[in-house]
Amino acid sequence: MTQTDQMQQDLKFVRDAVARRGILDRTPQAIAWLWAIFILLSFALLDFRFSAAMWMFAVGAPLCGIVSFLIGRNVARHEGEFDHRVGFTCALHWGTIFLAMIALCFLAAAGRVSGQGIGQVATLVVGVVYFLAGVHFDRRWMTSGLLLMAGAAAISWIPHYPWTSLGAVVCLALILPTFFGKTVNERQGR
Amino acid sequence: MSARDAEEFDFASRSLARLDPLLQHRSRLGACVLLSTTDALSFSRLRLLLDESDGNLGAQLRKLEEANYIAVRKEFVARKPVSWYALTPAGVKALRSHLLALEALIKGAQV
Repeated sequence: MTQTDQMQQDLKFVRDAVARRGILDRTPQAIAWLWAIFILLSFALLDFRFSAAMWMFAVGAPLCGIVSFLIGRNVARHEGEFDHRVGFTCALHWGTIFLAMIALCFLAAAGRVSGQGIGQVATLVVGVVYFLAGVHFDRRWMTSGLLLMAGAAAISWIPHYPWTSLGAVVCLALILPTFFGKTVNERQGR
Repeated sequence: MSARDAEEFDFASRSLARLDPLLQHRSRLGACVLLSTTDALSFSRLRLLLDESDGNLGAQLRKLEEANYIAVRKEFVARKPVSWYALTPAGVKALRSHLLALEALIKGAQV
């Protein structure tokens, strides 16, 4: 074997190793379940106990965010990869919701949005962030994002328990892929 | 040998000379390339990705560690000892030089 042949084989070996790593396109199941349950409960509270729902969003959402970060970090450690850039990017992405909610509060205080409209704008923003998470991180967020965006508008025409209905649909959209979704590696038989 | 052939031979020789002997082993090169894309990888993750045996991979990583191309940190995860490997600044520099030399060699090759 010539040196060139050897080099070609070595480079192929390295390419295969990099390809074997695949794309981390799966959100840990625990995170999907955590947010599915949170959305189901918090959206239902909007219909049945509005004041409790506000506390749920104000306190529960950031708490779930911290728990999601810890779950993601633990899963990464168990899988044997550690990259602070992934955590930082995810934190920036999902943190957008927090920033948007602050801006929405100012809009509400200025009287630009009120009543159910506040909830619809918030849901629309969350839907966009979920959808973009599907574009950049994990395809399975896309469905939830689309449902949230569509639901934000559709709420206007649902006469009974609109938020509970939307919450149940989004909850299912988050949970179902954990049973059927496959990572790139699984699709490639690794 | 024509002047052009001589020039190409000289160029190839210079490129070959710039290759890092430590990174001419596929597993060592593969490990460095994988580590360059992330903060740290565990031994078991490297073994899975490089498809190497424990003994062979351990020996190759030790050589990289002795050359200060990688750093190792040991800790316990779920009560099991885990070794984390990360590329050092010297390793980043060596890998970059080696890849540039490879690239020059490939570009200079007649197809």
